[in-house]
Amino acid sequence: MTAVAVALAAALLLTVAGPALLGRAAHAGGLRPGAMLGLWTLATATWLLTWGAMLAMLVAEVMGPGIKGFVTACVTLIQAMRGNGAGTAIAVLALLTAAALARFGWVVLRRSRDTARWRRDHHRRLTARARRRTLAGRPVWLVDTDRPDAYCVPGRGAGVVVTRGALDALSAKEMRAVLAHEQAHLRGRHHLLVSWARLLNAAFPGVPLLRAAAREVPVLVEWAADDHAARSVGAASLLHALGAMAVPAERSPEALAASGACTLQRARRLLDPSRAGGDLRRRAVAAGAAAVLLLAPPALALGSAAITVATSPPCACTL
Amino acid sequence: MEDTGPGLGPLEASVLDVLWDAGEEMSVRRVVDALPGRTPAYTTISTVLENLRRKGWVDRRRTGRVWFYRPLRDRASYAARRMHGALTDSGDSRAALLRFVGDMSPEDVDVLRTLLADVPKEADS
Repeated sequence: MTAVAVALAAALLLTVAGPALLGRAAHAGGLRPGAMLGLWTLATATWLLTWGAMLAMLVAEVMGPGIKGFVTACVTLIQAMRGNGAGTAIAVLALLTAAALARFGWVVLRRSRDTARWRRDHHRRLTARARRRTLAGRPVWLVDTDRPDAYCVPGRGAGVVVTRGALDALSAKEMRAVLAHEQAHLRGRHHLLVSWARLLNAAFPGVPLLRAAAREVPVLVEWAADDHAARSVGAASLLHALGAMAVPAERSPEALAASGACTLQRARRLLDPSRAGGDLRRRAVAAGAAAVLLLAPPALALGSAAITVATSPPCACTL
Repeated sequence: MEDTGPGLGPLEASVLDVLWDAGEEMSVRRVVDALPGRTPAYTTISTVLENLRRKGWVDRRRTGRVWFYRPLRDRASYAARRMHGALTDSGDSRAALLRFVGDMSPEDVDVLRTLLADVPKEADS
């Protein structure tokens, strides 16, 4: 029981204090956006693994190791609910976690279906309305629109999309900076990191760690892509590209808050010479320490789950 | 917000294409005749044109007993709206999309331009 209590405490600590831990590591070690992206993704993955192990432990507690399928589980749960008070608490908790699991599966399905449909529609629009062009040696989709815009769509047959407005507004070098930024998104698979963080936050709303990840990861991917573009083309060109592409929105202010990283914040960061971060040794130590701390909760949860499964009696119920 | 697309159906889009290609006012009958491929019923196209009028894409004028339709916006603004619609679609799909510059308020654009005033322009190489 002690192992379970320790694992539960670690899981709760990760859930509540995870964002503060990562913030501290970023600050103390001068970590770059790429490393922070890795740590945030690790944190959300370990969160899921930790609570998944806790769920497995509860199931083992209720049913024993002989899992005879969902029906058996339900029957056992009802039996347990009829039993003593402790049995009821565990049964209720197990039901709650089963509901959470079902919700996660549902959100995953719905979002992947929506994303696939959006990509298909968008690709159809591109093939109907956009032209293939080569800019700075790379193929892009050129959309005949006055409004300057550039974005990337991941997946098959997509890539970088720029509008004629952007082509008119940017110098050749500024355009190279924009393309380098978008290529960094595509090469780094940034959309997967953003989707993963947003998916978990949508599936389990109100969890502090997941809420923070869904807020931080979209900002960090922009910073990482900015750093790449600044290194390969130059910070000044990237800054002027930001300025040339910034157009006041036509939409209501409340719709603005939802979109990724704040452009102003990005510009201030690019102007800040200390952006490069701490020295390599300090960065490695900070990232390593944070990773070890993040891996502790799932290790404890898996360990205590293994102990529980090994020591629990075989399934008593019969169908 | 008025309903101006990108929610145009394929038939609505082809009817608009016909009007843009013609470059002049057209009666329903002429639109039906000019549509490529299978010929839809007169009443279908009449309904489509009325829907487009309700959505603010076309206007109509009566000459005698016949309504003539003309497009209110050009093809470029249609393309713009379609692509812009792709960017402003609701929540979930945005996860698939990383824009270079997100939407900004006019005040933020001013602040950004002020920040950039001191940054020297790099020459193209």
